[in-house]
Amino acid sequence: MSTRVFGRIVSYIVLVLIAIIGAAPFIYLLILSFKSRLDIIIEVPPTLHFNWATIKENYSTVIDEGHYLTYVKNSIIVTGIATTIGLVLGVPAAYAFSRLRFRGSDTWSSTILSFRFMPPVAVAIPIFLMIHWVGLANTATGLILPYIAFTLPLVVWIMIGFFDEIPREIDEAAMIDGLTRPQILFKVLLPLVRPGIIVAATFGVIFIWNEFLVGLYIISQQDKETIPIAASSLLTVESPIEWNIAATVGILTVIPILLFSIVVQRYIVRGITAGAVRQ
Amino acid sequence: MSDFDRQDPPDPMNNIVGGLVSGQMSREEFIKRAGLLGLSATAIGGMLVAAGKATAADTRAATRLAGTTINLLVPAEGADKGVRAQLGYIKKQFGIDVKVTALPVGPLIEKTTQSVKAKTGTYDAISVLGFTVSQFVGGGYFSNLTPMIKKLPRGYGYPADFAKGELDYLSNYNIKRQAFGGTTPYLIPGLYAGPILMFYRKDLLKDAGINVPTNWTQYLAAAQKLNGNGIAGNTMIAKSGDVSMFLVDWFTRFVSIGGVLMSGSPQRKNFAPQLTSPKAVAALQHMVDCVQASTPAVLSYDFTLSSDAFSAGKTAMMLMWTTIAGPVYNPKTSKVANSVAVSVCPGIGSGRGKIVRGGWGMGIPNNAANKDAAWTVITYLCSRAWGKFEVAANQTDPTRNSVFFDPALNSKFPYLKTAGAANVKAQILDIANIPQTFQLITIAAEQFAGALSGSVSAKEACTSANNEWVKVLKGAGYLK
Amino acid sequence: MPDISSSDERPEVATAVASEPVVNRPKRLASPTQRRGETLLLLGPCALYLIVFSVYPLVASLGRSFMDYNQRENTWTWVGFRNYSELFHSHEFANTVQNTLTLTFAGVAIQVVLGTALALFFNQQLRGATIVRGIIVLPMLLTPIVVGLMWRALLNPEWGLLNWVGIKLGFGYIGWLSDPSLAIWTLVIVDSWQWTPFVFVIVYARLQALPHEVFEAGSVDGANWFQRTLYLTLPLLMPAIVFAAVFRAIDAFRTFDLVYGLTNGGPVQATSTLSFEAFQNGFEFQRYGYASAVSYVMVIAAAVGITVLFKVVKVRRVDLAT
Repeated sequence: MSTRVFGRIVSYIVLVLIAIIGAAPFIYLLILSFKSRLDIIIEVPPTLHFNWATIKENYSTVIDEGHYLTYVKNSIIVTGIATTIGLVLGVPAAYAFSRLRFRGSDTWSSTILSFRFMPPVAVAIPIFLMIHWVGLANTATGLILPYIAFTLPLVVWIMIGFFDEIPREIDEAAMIDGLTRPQILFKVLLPLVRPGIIVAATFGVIFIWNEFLVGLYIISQQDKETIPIAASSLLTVESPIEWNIAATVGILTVIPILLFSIVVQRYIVRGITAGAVRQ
Repeated sequence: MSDFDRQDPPDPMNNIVGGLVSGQMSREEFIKRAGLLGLSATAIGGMLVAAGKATAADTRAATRLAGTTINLLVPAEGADKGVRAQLGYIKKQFGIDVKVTALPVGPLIEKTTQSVKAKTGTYDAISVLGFTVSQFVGGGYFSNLTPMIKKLPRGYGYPADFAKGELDYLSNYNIKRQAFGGTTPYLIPGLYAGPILMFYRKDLLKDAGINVPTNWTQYLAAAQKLNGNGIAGNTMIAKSGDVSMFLVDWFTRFVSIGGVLMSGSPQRKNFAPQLTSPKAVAALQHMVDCVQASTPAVLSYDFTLSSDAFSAGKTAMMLMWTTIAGPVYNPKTSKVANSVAVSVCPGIGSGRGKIVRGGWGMGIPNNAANKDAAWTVITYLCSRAWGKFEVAANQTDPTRNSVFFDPALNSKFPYLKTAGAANVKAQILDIANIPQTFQLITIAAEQFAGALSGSVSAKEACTSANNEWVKVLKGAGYLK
Repeated sequence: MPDISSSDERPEVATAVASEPVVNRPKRLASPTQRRGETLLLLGPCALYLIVFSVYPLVASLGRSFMDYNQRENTWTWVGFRNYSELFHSHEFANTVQNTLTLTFAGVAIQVVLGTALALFFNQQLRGATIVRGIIVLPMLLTPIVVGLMWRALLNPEWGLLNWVGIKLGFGYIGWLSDPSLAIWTLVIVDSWQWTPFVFVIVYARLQALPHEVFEAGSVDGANWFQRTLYLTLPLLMPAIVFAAVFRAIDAFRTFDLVYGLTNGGPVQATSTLSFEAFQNGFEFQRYGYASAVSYVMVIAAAVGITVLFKVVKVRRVDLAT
């Protein structure tokens, strides 16, 4: 066998291994969510023989008794509104940083971008106290307000890159036509940066959807919780855990984001590389 | 239909309501029986109205709370299922909408702290863990229940139906002296108690010709004989830093051979630990020996892993919180449900069966919005009726003696009266009345794990733990 | 679109289009006031929002780090630097710092090496590679608590799949999550599982963007694959690798969710990172002042990291501009 063929066989084996390593934890959890509590502790390793009644029981326990749909609703509302407002505030700001050179604009943009890297725990306590003080604890608004602040740096960062890609001459031509800067932004440039907006929105959505540290202390009523907040109290390390139910909770927690990511896959890749490979 | 079938919870109220409605039972008789089942005046009024037998006073009592919503905080350790199963019943009978939040211990304590300190509390009724009573009740955050208790129907069973130790730990507290017990109740014991029992496989012991161990020497010998062939002679909670290691495995051994954990008292600033005493070291050494008669994986065990291993048929004996071990009796969650037996924990003489007191109490924070409705719900959840239902449905442990020793329940669950006996004998942990309880227990469990894994001797581990405790107690001002 | 190169022919355009009223033609350059007004309009809301929800909390946190919170009385008292001095003398804090540094540097090192290797691996034409690439992007999107749950299941000492495989292969029992000295490495492994794809995506994109001529030249010169990679490809990929490394380092430094979901800081603080320590002190022990001090140490460290990152990014901007 020539080295080349051998090399390709090895490559395919490695490819399969990579796929297994990447997907195995998820598949394992999925299998566990199809098993009963007793089966999990007895069947080692789990067989692939499934009982439809068990599956239905696990999932209906979480969805019906566990108010799963309420959590999905809350997550969607909070994520949607926070991302939208984040875009509304962040896109014009990114445009300003990209186009307008004013004193200290570099410092300002760096400062805003640096907020992306702040440890959430540093602001969690003051935000928690602030939200409670204005009486917005246990409300969707109480969650949305801080979440917008968390997405803003992300949105600005991504959008600056996309705005930079558009030649300034387009702006200048529009200015000749008598448009003001805001008008240029809305009428001329927005259609051009639409892919960028989708990328920014994608990352905003992923980030906010998975957030739970700050949310954990703003929301204490169960019917206002988003999915990760609810999951965090069900899946803790230290309490007795019914693994079949926990696995089901886990699967249901990540299914929405997985479906979402399949739809926006290429935007995800574009977004990650936007910072690194700006041409 | 099997008793473990959750779709059919026994409802003790059905019979007497039926009797009332059909006219077979008089109003007075109904009130008496309903009171015996532990229901409050509002609940009784509600049912009388529904049955058309209410006087004006009854109606007033019943409709007073209709339409209120309360927020209830309970632990997510099994009994929350029983609470949720009865929400519809509570709504129907009392007109109260209960929003339940069930959390594991850690987050529950955090949420409780947040809620009781806010201007208006998030929760109207809260379950308080015994170890946190001094923190929350002692901190003055909970309402004195005396006036409400006075209005309970005769036959409710408070305080008569509860073990004295339970009342001292999970009900009465003396805020001024920061001590357990006394005559001022701030909590009602519920949703479940937490005695510790020795669980064993009667089939394995019988086949090996071993009698049920009554002292620790016999326990170790039995474990050694039974260990092997895929069976662990015994298991324990051996995970580093796990508080249950200290409470379930170490403290049981220690206190059942006559050990005393602390000398002095916090108030007199001479609160000194006795972890280096011979009995303390002997208890730890016994655990070290038991680890040798177990599976190597035991060093990872927390209480879930230990119980699950038992349910999977891999263990011969273990000490465990009976509430956590509930699933081992249920054929749906245990392979060996029919071969499980229990006994009080081994010990010497009258020490046999002595364990640490655990459990929860329910109370109303001072900043609750709906105190009356909260009280109604609490009285229901701490009643005999609910206790019996919960044991049958989920095999957690009740708090009331009448439920522990109920003949009907015992015929289905023979372990109950043993658990009841253990519950009476349980003693309050000596360090439960200072805020550093969890911190101290965790430190001890961490040091002890060193001995269990063989890196240090039992004596060294006890000495390190003792030194750490002294540091903490001195820092807190309880020891000069 | 008007021809952009004709902007300096404006006067001719003005006269040629006579039908348009000249008086409404705006000046070419907006006045300074108008510019400032525009800037304010575009930037203002965003800046204001961040001041309220990001700057103020940071400042408030700094203030609180100099105070002590009394649980029983719900009061704050000024204590100066006491929290910080307690921090720096605390054995537990030193342990936390060590864990955080292990997670950050060991984790990032592993992720960078594996991520780059993956990028190089995927550079060949393999059927089905697109699907596999799609699969490995997914771990980054999963909620970290669920990632923790998945791995707790895999590593369960009684019935977990990995332990079963380990025993079958003759390794015997391994306390992945219960052995204090091993737990931090388990955390590093799980973190790497989740975030190596991030490095991969960045390096791979850069790799794809490299011009082919470079590689062709190399193979013409007779260099084998290994030499080409080492002396040609890697240096060209360096900017992307460094960018990914610094980015990951800052994020790994802040890790909280995964610690909470995988080990809850345990066993006995063996995996407690700075974020977790701040969280625990703040929300479990109610020592808000001390927790703020811990968070502030993180903020300062993060600030250093950010400065480094921006130097890297700036350098590359110059790179690409030439």
